[in-house]
Amino acid sequence: MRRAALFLALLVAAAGVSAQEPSRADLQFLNRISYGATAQDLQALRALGREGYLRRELAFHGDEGLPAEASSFIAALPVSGTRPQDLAEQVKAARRAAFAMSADEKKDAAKRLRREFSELDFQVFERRTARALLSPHPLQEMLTWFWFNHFNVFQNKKQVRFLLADYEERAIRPHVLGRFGDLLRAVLMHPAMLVYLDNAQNAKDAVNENYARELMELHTLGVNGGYTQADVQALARILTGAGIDLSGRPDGSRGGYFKQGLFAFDPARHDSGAKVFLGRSFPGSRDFSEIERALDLLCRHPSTAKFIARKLAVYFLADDPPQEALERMAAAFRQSDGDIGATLAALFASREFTDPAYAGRKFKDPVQYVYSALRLLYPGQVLRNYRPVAAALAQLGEPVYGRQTPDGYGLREKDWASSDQMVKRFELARGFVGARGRLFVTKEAIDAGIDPRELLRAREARPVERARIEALVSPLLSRRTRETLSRAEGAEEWAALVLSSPEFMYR
Amino acid sequence: MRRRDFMHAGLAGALALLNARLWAAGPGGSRLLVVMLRGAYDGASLLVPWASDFYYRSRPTIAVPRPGSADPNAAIALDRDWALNAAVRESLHALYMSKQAVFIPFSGSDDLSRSHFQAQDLMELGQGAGGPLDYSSGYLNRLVEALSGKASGGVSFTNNLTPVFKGAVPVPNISFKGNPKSRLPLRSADLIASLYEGTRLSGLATSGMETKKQVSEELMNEMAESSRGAGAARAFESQARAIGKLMRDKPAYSIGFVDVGGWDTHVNQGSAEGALAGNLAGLANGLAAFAKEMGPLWKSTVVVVMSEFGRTFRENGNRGSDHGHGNTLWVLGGGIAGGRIAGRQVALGEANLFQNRDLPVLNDYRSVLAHLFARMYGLGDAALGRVLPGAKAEDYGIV
Repeated sequence: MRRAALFLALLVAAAGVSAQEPSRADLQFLNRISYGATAQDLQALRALGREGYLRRELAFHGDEGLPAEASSFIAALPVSGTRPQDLAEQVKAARRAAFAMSADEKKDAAKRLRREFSELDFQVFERRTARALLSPHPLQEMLTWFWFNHFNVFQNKKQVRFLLADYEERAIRPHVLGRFGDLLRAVLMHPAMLVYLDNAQNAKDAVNENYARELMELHTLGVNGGYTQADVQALARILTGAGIDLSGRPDGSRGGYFKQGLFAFDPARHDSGAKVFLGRSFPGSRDFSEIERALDLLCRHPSTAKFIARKLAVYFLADDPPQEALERMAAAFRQSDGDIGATLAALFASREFTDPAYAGRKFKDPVQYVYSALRLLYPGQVLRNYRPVAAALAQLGEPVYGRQTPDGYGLREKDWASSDQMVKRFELARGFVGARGRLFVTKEAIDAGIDPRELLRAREARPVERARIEALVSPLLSRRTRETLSRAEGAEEWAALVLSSPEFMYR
Repeated sequence: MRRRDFMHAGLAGALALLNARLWAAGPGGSRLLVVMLRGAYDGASLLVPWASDFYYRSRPTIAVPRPGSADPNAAIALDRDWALNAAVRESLHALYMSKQAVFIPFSGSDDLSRSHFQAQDLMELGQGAGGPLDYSSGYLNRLVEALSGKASGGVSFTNNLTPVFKGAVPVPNISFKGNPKSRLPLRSADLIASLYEGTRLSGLATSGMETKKQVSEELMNEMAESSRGAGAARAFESQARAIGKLMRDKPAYSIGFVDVGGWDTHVNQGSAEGALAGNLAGLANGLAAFAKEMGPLWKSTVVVVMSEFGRTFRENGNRGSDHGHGNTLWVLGGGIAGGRIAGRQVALGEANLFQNRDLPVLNDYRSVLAHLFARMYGLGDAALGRVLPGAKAEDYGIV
């Protein structure tokens, strides 16, 4: 009886997509370098072949090819037209206005400004999510998450509140497939990082080690990368003077003072004495050149090549990646002077990456889980309400921009697989299917007390497309999973079970 | 500062002796809660070495004012050498006065990386520094394993399972970020259990659904409510109350772990007031509320509070402190020999700083844990050696 039902289900599925049944290998390949394969990705892969597809995806495309509706959604977000300089001016104006205010008024004004900034930060999340769900170049969107996480800042620390949007858009995203050195420099020169790791306050005779330590431990060499406490202290002195300038003065350099946007290097705050850093002598300089030399040294250090290669391999290949692949990647990193695309090309071309033993074995982190669920259920559709998505990520312990500590979120199964995580995923899976109406009406409408009939309409406009979904998952499912799925009553229960299945927890 | 007496005789007491003086837990069994302060809290701002001029010279803007002055922010003297930050007057100081709190300054691990993440992992795994970290199990998991069959089990009050509870025994976690209203219907739970049968995630999937059934919706509500708004340490008070209720009512959750973040005070940490004092107050109020919630069981409950390392003894250039080494560990409990400062101590002065910047570690955190576990659970040499390999159980006289 069950067997007959299963057979029938497969027959129905096959009829819907007969000509283009994707192979298990193609699905596994795409699932690892995207937030879940869609029919669109499969079509591109088929048209270009693996090599051609990778060649295309290992370059940065910005918002090229984004569906028009998504582009206009992003363009319409107030945050898209806001510069951090303007927000800094707003903060300064608020401070000036506060002089004439009572204590209560001051509190209210501060609260209003905080709310305004947190709305802007939510728009950064909406932009990030829209791209992750809809971009025809999903690898670059995963890498935007990866590198932001590598150079993590926390949205609720001081001025990071209004610097977040610019940090992601200008310091991180354009470099995700470029040269690591450019990325590192863009991060160092971004006020969000300087505020987050306190370097904005690191000055001659008032040294703060925070950024110097994390720059080596977390951003470049790795904790066992061969630096000492003395190197931390030397680098902290080298980094003195790199800070922020909210004065609104024009960009430029004069007498060693160098300003670009809200970043500034101030020679008066820089310790120009001689230092020894990583065994090299630094005679001391009165301009930014000493910092650039330290960055070059860090980027070209063999520990950095190893550290970055390993982290990328952990994200894309395996929790404990094989040594051979790591060595090839580290060599590619060194030979290309830190080219991230070349390093990834070495991974994706490796024997291990196509070895079925490594496929479908990476436990999805919450972001991958949630985004892949939405891409599977609602491909090509622009969400109108991102709040349930943010809430899901917060519940699962991985709110975007919400990691307080500079290490970023963990990338391995041990960081995410727990009993609480599993049961929450099961609950959320039901919500993504059953309460889908809420994703497609605006949060303003919900706040205003939406008519339940409107929610119902939004829901009914998006029936669960069982045959389409089946084609994208069934080649990956075990016999046991298929058998259990065949006991589902109706497409909705079936879809929620697919998202709850052990296979869907992995990529 | 006067040179303190070293620990009394029996410091490295034989384990056989320790076992002979087993702590008598009540009929409801014992409870253990380990609290991990992530980010390296500044112990010298909690347990203040008020007799040390060197302390006040080293911290011109962040030292906690000496007891005895009319300043309402003055520290509260515990003895001739040590005082508590006034921010914990109603909570920790009250517990100390009723002999329910012990502080162990100069404690920590032998990690020298000064990396939060490496040091936290090392501490949760319960390993000594030096070799590569072995992530296969954490010491609380090994403790649960060693006690198997004795009506005790672990529970982690964290978003995900952290290294301390990783290991052979499946341990559930309960996070404070749930949606209390969300409940799986029985039918879904059955189908999901069937999906996972025989897979490697099967244990997690079923124990997750089972745990959710164990926690009432009311308590789930309270927990979810508590994680909203305020920062980690300040939200801790209502979280701790919920933890207390659960650990009190469920003998299966007799060994708990919770972490509290927000201690990495590189800038403007404050002294008796400010960011750090606020966090300390939130934490201590939470633990006092936990104690109250435990009711009669508090008599046989032990709470251990620790952090991955301490902070620089001297303040840095930004009225904060950087990553250091030794720190102050606390033990609380209704039935402990409290109201004391325990462990080895050394006079505070430049000459005694570790690498001329940090407090030294004279009391290995693992030796404290070994002492507690030996007494609380009557673990013998062999079992202790499995739970905390290589640790020396020393007699801190706490339980």
